[in-house]
Amino acid sequence: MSERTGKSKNTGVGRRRFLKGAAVSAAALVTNTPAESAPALPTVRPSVAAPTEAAALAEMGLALPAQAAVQASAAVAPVPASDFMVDVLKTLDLDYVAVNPGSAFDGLHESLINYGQNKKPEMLTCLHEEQAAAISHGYAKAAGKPMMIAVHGTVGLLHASFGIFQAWCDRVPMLVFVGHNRNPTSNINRPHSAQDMGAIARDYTKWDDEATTLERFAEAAVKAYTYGRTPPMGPTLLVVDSALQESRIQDRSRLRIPALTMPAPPQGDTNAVKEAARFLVNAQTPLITIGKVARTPKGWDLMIELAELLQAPVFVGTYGSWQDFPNRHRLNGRGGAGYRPDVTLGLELNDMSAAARNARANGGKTISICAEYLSQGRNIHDYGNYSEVDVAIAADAEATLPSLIEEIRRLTTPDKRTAFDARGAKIAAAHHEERVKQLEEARFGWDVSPISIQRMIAELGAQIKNDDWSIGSGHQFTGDWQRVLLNFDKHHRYWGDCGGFGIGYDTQAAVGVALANKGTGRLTVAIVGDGDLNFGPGTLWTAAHHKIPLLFLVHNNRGYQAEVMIVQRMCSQRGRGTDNAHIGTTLNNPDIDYTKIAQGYGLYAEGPVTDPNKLAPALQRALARVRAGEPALVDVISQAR
Amino acid sequence: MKVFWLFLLIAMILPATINGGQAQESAANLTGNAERGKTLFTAAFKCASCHGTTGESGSPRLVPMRRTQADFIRFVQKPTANAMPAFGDQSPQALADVYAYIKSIPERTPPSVQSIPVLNDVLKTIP
Repeated sequence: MSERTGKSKNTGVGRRRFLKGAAVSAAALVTNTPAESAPALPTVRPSVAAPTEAAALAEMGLALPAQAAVQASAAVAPVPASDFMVDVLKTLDLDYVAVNPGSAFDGLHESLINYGQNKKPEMLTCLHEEQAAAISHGYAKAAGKPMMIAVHGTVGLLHASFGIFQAWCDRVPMLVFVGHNRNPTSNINRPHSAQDMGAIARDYTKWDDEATTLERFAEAAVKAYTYGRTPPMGPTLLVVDSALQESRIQDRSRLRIPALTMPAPPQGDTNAVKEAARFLVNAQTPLITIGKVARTPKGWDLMIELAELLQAPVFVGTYGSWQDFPNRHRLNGRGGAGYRPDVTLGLELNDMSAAARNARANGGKTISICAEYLSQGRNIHDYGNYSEVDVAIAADAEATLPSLIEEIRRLTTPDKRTAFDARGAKIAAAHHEERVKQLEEARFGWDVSPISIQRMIAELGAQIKNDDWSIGSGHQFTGDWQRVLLNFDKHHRYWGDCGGFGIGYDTQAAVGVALANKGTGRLTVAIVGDGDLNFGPGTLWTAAHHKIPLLFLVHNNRGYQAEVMIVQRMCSQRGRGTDNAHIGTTLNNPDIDYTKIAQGYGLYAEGPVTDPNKLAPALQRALARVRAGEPALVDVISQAR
Repeated sequence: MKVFWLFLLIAMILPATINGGQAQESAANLTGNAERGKTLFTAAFKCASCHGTTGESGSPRLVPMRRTQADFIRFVQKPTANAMPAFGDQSPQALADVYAYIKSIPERTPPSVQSIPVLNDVLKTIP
């Protein structure tokens, strides 16, 4: 049951909506609307009398406020203000709006689906606001532009807040529209109103505003869009009074929509870039370490160009890092054993403190090009430590790469080029050796049951190798095996982890990635933990309902296995014994049947697959469904880690 | 006076050394029950959470087990690896059982990368 509608079991009419309907009827008595002259309909008497707003207010000793009647009148006005809001939103290149319905934005809701014809943005029905936010998170990364979510005041925003938080930590834009009933008339609606609605999510949004007029709404919406998409990117939030949505437009010609002009992302200072180039060209053993550097496919290409120009290794990080450089590229890695960087270039790394300390202690240099310098850290400690780098450039790395590359090219003499090439050959040999060694490790436990993670990923890779595939989930729960066994040779192969390292992202955000990939010919797959899936299983229904094709491969190790060892360590450190460490960390007794859950949400599903030799056929059957345009799930009983 | 302190030190260390030696000796002489050890490995101690159910697929791999039983028990009770939880509360007998289970897992030479088609395909993509 929705906490916002309090649906009546007998009538199926939402209490909130019914109250509004009652108010409309009451208003019709005094405003001479067409409803007054409509032919009388047969009376249908519900088995239990449905509540009326008047009755509810009478119970509380209150009278029907005049304002409610005025609002009700506005709700049936021929030119609703929310139609203008849709006009504004249509200028923002928003393809989708994800919602779980709420009465505080039903004015906008109605305008989107009728006046806006449910196109650009098209509405996605979500079973939880966190799912709406997570879908939006994944979508923005894969589509390269934000989508919108609409949530009800306080309760909807609180539900969405975790997904917004993850997007904030991941520096991903999302336009959050919060319907706000500023003048609640009942005990039901009062908790959904707040003095400062934006404050609920202000710690993890880049900007928020509350529009009190339509002019203000138009400007705020365009601002929210541009601020959100300008690096460092982040979710932006717009609170809109429900009464404003439902009000009547007096004179449409007085309302204008500001033209959208996206700011160019900030580039690094010319002199600082020159200094960075000089350090890099003169280095004997440069190292490039990267975070989320490639906002676009162009950034991916620029990274390859930079690495090949310098013949320098590119380290993409480990746990939870992005993958903005081809993992099979001969320069991928740290350069091999014994490669000690004398100059380290960090691109979009919010914390280079350790590298900077090491470099200072050993006579090396560090350079940081990072948009995080432009971010005002809020309450959440997602920003890094202060880094004592030698050159700090507050700028978007992708936007700065062309000038850095140009300067490096200018400084590279033929002698330097010869030295670079010799360095590159050594790095390539080290890369080959390391990758082969990692692959050798994948053989162990190849035929064991539960199925090893490496087997699970390798079998998936074999099934999709001829597709233009894209992974919608992260890799933090599969170790390094994705990077070892899958060929991330294009920008859209992998979209990074969740940002905030909270569980639940993979299943939900993968639907957003698949939504962005829909119609592009890309095949979306997601490797999701059983723990992760349980945080947002309703997303499966959204994928089925909206025919969003993707494969969910459930890495079902029946527990929060990463936590087992941690709890055991705590038990032993405190000398209280490890016997109880399984309590709270395992998901069995009963085992959860993810196949039935997925089938219940309308997906094709198979499993649990326990025999490694039966995994490939199961994947083939499920992927055939995905290629045909529907979501599918395969539940794989896997080794813990 | 110095002699007094020396005697005191020896008096303090000697029993511990003797006890340690006895513990090592007893740990080495215990007979493990592999069947019970398997239950402890997979269900009670959750060793499989990191090392895989057969000690082969996880990290670090436990098969082949290079440690002696006494060394294994000593390490598991007080590991030197940071990530490894200490099982100091578990009896040497229980750990000997786990050791017996690990030793009972046949040491297999894994198939070559080239003989596993899906891995061989990956190998071909490595520059």
